[in-house]
Amino acid sequence: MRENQAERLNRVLIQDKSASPQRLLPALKSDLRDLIRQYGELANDIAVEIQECNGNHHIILVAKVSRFKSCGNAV
Amino acid sequence: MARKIVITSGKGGVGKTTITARLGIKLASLGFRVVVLDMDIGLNNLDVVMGIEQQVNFDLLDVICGNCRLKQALVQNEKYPSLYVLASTHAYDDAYLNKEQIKGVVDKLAEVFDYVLLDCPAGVDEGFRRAVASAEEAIVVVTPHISSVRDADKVLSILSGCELLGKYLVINRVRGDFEATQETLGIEEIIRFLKARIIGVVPEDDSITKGETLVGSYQLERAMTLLAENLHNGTKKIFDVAKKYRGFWGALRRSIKKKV
Repeated sequence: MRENQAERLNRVLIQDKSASPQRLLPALKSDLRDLIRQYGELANDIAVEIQECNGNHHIILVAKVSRFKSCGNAV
Repeated sequence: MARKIVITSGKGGVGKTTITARLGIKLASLGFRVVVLDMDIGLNNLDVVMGIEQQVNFDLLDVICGNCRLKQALVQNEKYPSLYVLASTHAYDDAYLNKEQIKGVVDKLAEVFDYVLLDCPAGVDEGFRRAVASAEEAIVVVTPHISSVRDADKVLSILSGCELLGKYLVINRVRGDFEATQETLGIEEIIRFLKARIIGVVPEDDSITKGETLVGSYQLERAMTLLAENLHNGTKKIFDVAKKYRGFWGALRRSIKKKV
């Protein structure tokens, strides 16, 4: 009976995580970091947050840039 | 400066308030200055659990609105004079409360106490976020049921995004007989799923069911003592809830318990 409960819990937790937008965060953060680096020098790591509000998801990005590069330059 | 610890769970009814009250009592009995705050605005019960509902003249809302001084709202425990309670209100008015206001109250208390325990409301909405914003550590209370572990997993996931010094797990309301016969989710499995540092396992106790939340059996008192010591000292002594249900005499106890 314990094994069944553990298996069931495992399924529930996996389903919850796969339905959550938070699992996108690491990939989103990595992509945004690379994108911003093309335009400026990051003073420190960017902060990305996904917030749920009234059925919509807000992506909150905070990035500190110490200087901007000339437009169009890539890293 | 005090340790500011929020006691949360996600799911309601797992025993957050009772654990908060009992932990406060244990820490006070060990000689620390402790204040327990009810962070549930509207559905608060810490005052009732602590048996002080008739002694509450001012509450958290009164303090924030400036209706009283902070000291006037603190209710001292008669048996443990170093334990104080700051009750909440059943009147709900969100306009008066934001994270900064509550954090201000908590930080003032932290200047004079050793432990500030925050009894968090159920859920993961604004009340939860207000309570967590005021804390530096978190205890997540869970029971050995799939629904509770599921909600605790969500809470721990949210807490991982907060800058907390520590996150701990307490498994509450554990039936020792079921743990011995593996009829419910096991303690080891819960720890494995949630990946949090366990500081206590607390047995199910009839005294709580009967409404006697501040007295308990030897097993319950022992479990709470170990919990308080683990929290303060960083030790890992976990109460063995299944011990008395193993072996020949354990089988006899289980058999009697099933029939009664």
